[in-house]
Amino acid sequence: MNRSTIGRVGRIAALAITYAVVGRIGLLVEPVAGFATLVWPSSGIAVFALVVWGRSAWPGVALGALAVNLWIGATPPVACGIAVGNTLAALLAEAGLRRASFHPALDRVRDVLALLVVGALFSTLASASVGVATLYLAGVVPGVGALDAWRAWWLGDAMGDLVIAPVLFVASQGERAMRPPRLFEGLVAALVTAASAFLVFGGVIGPAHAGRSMYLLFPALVWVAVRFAQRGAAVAVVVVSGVAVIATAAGVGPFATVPLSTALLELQSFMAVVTSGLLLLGAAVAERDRARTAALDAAQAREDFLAIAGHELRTPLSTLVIELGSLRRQFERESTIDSRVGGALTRAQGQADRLASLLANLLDASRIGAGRLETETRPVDLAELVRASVDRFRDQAERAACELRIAIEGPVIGDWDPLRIEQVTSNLLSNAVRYASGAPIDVDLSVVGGEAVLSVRDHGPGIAPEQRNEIFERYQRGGAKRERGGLGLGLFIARSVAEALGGTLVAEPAAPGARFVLRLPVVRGSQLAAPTPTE
Amino acid sequence: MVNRARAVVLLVEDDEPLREALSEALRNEGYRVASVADGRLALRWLGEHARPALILLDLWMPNGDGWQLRQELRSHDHLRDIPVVVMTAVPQQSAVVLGVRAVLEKPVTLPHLLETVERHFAL
Repeated sequence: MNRSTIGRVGRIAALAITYAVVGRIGLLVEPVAGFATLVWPSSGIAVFALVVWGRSAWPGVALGALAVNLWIGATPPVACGIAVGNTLAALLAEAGLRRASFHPALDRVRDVLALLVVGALFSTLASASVGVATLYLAGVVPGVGALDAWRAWWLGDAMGDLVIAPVLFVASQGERAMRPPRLFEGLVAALVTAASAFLVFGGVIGPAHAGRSMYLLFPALVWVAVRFAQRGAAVAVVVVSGVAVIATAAGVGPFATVPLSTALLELQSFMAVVTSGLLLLGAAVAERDRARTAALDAAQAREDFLAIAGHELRTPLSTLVIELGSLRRQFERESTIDSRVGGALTRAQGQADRLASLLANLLDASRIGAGRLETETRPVDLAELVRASVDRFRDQAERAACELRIAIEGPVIGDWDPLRIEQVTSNLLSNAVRYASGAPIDVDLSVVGGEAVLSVRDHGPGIAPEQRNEIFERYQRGGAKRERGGLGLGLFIARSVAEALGGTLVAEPAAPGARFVLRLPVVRGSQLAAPTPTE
Repeated sequence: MVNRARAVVLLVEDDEPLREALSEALRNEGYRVASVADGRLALRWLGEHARPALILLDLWMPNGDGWQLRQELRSHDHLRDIPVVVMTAVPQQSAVVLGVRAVLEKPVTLPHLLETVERHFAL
């Protein structure tokens, strides 16, 4: 025998022995007509083994079923008939789950639905029907008791698929170990789950109130499913089921008010609903966790890409800027510059500047996205900064036929990051020029109640009220998507910078046009940094 | 102009077109320029030549990047006080920590570059 054959025989033997021993324990609990038990964990073991090891492990199910039935005194023909039904059920479940592209991790809602419908509800019809038919034909079950036996058999097998299979599937996934705080939470959650199960089923609450106290199970169950997804849900289902079956069989708890077979039937129906709901919740939580991780990864990949692309694009742009500068200097030195060449050079340099500022915006947007926007504050005069920004903007405003009207009170001394202030101002000005060419732009700076207030107002089409916040989102542009140009990053960066400096940037209504208002706290914290007068 | 002709600006930049553009632009202004492609070559150059008046250093390079070179320079007595001007596409505070004379953000304009070099050029 080669190694794979030995492995297969070993797996079949292990499955057969486990199936038989677990089945024998299940049959200790009130079997209907001697063979149909409401507690049949072996069906879950069989489904798990066939899904994980492949359907070629089916002889393990057949041998296990044969052995356990002979063990409890069935005649060989009856044991064979029951074994055929049980094996058929396991094979049907495996085939159905394979067809449904089942993930043993049960980490999608569709996997839980497949296990529920194909495994628990459908495949178990085969074992219950073949098994009860065998008992009837052998005269073990009379015609009148057949329906009860069938119902018990079906529900018992279904519960095995619902309670035992999931915990085996989840355990076989070999998930990462939990870190101590989470491990601690897991242990506490398990204890609370066990305690609530004991409280509800263990006879702690008197029989008169026990039936109305079953809701006490749910806080703990929801906790484990939401926090630990399928790992938590599958273990909780086993814990609660175990406590409930043992207590009910011992005659205590809310279900133990009627004969045991009826009590177990009602208990298992209740548990079937609880288990299905919990496993579906666990799967939904797993789906949410996966979607969140994927979204974070995608966002990180985008930030990394932007940073690298920005860096890579800047190197050739640097060469271009230096070469254009060299050309201009050479022409100027030799005083040979032709007005046409001079104009072309100016335009080329203007476009290189524009590329540079687009790239700077891309890089800043990626830094903001990654939470790495850095500011360096020092005492500066805001009035002077704004005046300088506006001056640098005059050419561009002139080209767009925008008159710049300035009302600046100053000086306004405070601790600010001059480069970042310049960035906000120029982003606001280019925004105004882009959306309101041909109309004047008003730039006002004043100090109101400890705040420096800079307002840039254009006389363009204005901003619709519902867009007043939206325009500060990344990649947003007012109006039609392509008609204005730009990357849609300017206002996003401006607001992020304003917030990094402890201020705010908002769009306010103005008629006509739009008004952007930057408010910055006037902080002159560093008295020490102020220059000391010297003699 | 006298100073410029006597001492050398050492340019450390891995991108060849940019290295040539910068060398040419500085030469046109009367500087003597030596250029190398990475930090390791810069150290070798420093071992074989007289002390330069200024090092113009790119931070991101494949072999021996600008940070490493800056650390090396600081650990040698005779190299420690050569003025260093850093050029980078990603201005970061680490450049300030390195104690360089100036940080130029790429793309740097020629007038800004020349003004910075002029200011820190020291014999």
